[in-house]
Amino acid sequence: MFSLQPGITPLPIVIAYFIIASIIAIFIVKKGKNKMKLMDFVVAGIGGVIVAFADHVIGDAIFLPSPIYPFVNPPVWFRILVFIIVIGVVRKVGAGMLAMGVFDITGDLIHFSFTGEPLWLIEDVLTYGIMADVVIYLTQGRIFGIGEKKLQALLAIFEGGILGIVFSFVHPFFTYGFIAPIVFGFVPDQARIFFLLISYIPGDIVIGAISALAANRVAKVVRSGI
Amino acid sequence: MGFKGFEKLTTYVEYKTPYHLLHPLTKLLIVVIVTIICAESIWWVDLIIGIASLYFYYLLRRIRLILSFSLLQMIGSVLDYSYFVSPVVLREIFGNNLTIIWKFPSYFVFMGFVPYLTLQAIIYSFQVSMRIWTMLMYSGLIFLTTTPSQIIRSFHKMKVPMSITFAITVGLVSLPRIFDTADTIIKLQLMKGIGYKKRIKFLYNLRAMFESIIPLFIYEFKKAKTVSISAETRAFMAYKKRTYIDDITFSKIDKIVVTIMIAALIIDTYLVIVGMIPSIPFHP
Repeated sequence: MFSLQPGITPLPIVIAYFIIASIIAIFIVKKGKNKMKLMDFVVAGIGGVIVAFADHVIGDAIFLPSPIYPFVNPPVWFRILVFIIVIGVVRKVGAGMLAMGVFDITGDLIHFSFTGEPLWLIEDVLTYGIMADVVIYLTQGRIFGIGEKKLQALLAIFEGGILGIVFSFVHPFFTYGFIAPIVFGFVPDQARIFFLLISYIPGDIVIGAISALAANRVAKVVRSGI
Repeated sequence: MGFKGFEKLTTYVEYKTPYHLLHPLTKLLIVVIVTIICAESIWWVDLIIGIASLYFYYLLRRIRLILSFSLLQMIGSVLDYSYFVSPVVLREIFGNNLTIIWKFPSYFVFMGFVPYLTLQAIIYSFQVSMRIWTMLMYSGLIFLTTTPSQIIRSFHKMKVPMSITFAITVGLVSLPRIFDTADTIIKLQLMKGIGYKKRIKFLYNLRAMFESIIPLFIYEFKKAKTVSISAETRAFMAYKKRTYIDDITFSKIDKIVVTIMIAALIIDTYLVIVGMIPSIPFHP
């Protein structure tokens, strides 16, 4: 049923990715030193909704002709910007997955409906969410240079850029290349998948780096006031 | 429709419709079954089911809002899909005589575009968008007819961990307020003179929207402190389980609705299998 032709991401690859991601999720949540508190759950919840608002309301309001879209992609850029700020504010393992879970549910309610659930929920949590949480885990909560004494801006640009690169793979291979065809009933095009990947990477890296710098600043303002 | 319109479409409406009487899980089941029926059936089945939901929007006085929002979304979906439908798929469905409307420049192929935009591609995209429209209509009803406390209780019934339930509920409760706050921030930007005496106001409105994100963050996150203190003073999450004075139960009307929906699903699936209801082919 599923094959490389005409462009769908092979099922074994998708299943293998999500199984490995689930194992990593359990591992980092168990091993994470700083556990999320009630305050962090609230911030992640509100943050998830702001991600949905920025992506599905502000981002979608900027309507661009389709050829420009992958290069200049306001919904995805707004999603990256706001999501990175949210994880920068919480900075605890689990925040990424939780914020993405809330984003998915509220995004469903205001935009796509529950079409295709729980596939979208699994996708968002175990792609964007886990990627951010892995960076939080590896940096031991000092993500985007927050809390570091030196090279804060450089670390923010580096980590934001890395997140931008890994985020670029999600939409072409999982969203357009696997789940959307099943849910909406269209046939994906292999040429478009590779075009989406190539066109996403530059913008996502730049936006990731800018968002990380913004997160560095916003996290200080927000955390000092709450 | 503006942000106020979004706020109205995402806020609970105090009214006695039959939908209000249903258990939240029944509403979710309706959306799931509608999703399956839409996925396996031709567009006019989706249209009929979608039109049925308009009755509830009429009772809730949200019919103009939902129609304008969902029709805009449908136009966007049709445009989005029609550029990328493979001619192989279209020939499979409509035969070899495709009506070409527009020829794209040759380099558009590298962006995944098909060389020609055909009438059949638009028809096919309309069929795809119709199923999204119907699903949107029924999921929108959940927001309008369910209170946050009912959502918490239904999540609790599904054994979802309290911390996750809490985060989702805080998010859902915050949603209308975020629209309201963003609307206020944008209006303040406009009052400060953004785009004043400019010919093209739209770009400045977008700028105001973009600039609303960071103040929105700071405003909403500072409120998070109040929310968490309020929850902690009520010993929230001190225990893994909670008890409710007003617990939600599966009533007789829920059982009737669930039976009707399952019957509708079985009948639709049977009619699709025997060929009386055509479907959109997915795998050619």
